[in-house]
Amino acid sequence: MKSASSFVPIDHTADVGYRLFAPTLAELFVVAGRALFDAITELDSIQPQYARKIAVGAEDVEALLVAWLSELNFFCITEFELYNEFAIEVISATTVRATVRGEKIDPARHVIQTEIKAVTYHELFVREVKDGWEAQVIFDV
Amino acid sequence: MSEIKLNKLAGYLWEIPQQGNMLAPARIYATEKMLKDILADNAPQQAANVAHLPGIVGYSLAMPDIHWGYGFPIGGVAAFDVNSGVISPGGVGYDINCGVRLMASDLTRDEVEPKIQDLVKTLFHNVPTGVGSSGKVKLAQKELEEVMTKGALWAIKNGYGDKDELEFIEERGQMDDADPAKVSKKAGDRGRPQLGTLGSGNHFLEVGYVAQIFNARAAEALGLFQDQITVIIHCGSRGFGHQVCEDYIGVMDKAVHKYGITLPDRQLCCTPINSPEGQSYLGAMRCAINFAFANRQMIAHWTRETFSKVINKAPKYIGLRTIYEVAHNIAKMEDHIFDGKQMTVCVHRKGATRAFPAGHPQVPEAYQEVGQPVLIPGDMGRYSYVLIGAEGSMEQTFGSTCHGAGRAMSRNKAKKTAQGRNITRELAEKGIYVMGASRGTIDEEIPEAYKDVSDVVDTCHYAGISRKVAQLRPLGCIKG
Repeated sequence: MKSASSFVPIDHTADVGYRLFAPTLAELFVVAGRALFDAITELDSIQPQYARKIAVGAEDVEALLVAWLSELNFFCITEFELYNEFAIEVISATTVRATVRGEKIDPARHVIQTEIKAVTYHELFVREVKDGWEAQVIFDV
Repeated sequence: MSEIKLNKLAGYLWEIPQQGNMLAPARIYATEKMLKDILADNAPQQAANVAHLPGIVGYSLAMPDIHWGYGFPIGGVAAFDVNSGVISPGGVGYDINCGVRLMASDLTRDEVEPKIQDLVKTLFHNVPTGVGSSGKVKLAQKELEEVMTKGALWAIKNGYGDKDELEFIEERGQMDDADPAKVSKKAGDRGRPQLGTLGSGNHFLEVGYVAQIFNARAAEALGLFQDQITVIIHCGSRGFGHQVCEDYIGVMDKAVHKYGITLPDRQLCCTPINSPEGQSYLGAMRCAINFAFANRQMIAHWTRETFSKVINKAPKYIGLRTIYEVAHNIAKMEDHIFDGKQMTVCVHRKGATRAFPAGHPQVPEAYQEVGQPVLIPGDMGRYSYVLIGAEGSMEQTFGSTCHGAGRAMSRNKAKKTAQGRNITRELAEKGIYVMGASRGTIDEEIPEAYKDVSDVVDTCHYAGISRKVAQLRPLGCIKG
């Protein structure tokens, strides 16, 4: 039986990092998106009212994870959007297409804990393990 | 726990000998007392990793505020031969030209302390802070390009401050050879609404006073006196710089394969300085440097306006002259002598400050006899320091010194430590009035999360790379 998806914060002196686990690569990207918005705000405070299409490509699966999270963060910063639903439509080691759902930041309801400057390659890994996929990603805050 | 072996070279200097694929040794400035914390982190390994990069000259250096960064350690300095070396966006950091401006007023502590709450509240209102904060200025693309090439001069031409203060900003607030054509549309989209904002994280604006003077001659040259009210502005290039770095880390990630560079950490990705990729990054990075110079110039202007309003005196009686502004996340071409040989090197300072000594041509005329001022912010509850560059920096550290206290606790640990406490009230009881955009930011930045900045500056002082001039203590602070 495959394990459930999860994300666990890791301790890093200056930045914020997560270990991610999921039964499939698609679900790993979902859990990565949730970890990103967990760092930014309280996930439960986001209502999936609005949909945005995301499509990114990269050289390999690790760079793809960085590109995916960077694109979500870009719309968070420039369009003030928060997401908590991530429907992956197409995924390979070099491409991901998805519809993400969320809403505009409402200061009355959303506590913004931090701004993510960037998704880093530092100590980044994405690997297939016995019962699914495992990854680590560190955000510069 | 790090397994790195260090050789002691002096009471404040340690070396990781060149080994494996390292192209130079790594050197860490720290006292024995500080070393325990430094070794508990991965930062020494990161200093050793930097020594793997092609064209490194001398040593991979770490200042006493070294802590675990991404790729390069924070507090890292590395110089690369301009002909055979590399440029690495990770060696500059995401917040390109994050830096510090120090302004000194004509006011004394007793004039300002009774009004500090009002002053902090008004500053919080007048200087946009916090996550996703938008500036008060709406820029068209053409104006953004002017910001990218003119830096602080753009701000001054648009009414934010005075031309005379340019001399007191590193590079006179305007980095040459900035190339807006090398900046992505995304960087423009992130940066355009954020010009004139403090941002979040460890960025702040602090009102303080001169608490102690260590070097009377230098303090006089800088115009600092006991109990004088000062302002420190700490911020950078906001989303503009973050995106430039992100874009070019993507470019360099491919360039390392193209140029056959082997790296111990993917985040160290780099490219030969003379490659098209390297030249493009330099052009774009310099745009971000200028964005940050303009940003701090605008915030300085609003700070003066706020003081004038709250203290109820005309700006000319307030003062708030720019003492100096330094950059502490930057890469620049500089002339240095190494092993008796004059050479041009690309000095990467990531969480490190330029510290040119007296007589250096790039030190402002007014400070020629004492050296370039260096501004070292501490944590919210204790103190900050004003230093001056010393001769040892040219001999040992490519004209560099430390940049701050350096974190001792992760943000998660800091938040846990702050749990159940009211940090704002604790600080208020010490006479420090703090306002933040969110409670989370204040908790993450609790004083205990940082090393004692006095250990950091003392190490640099005894190493002879910079000298202590004055200690500043906080009265009030706004945080992103």
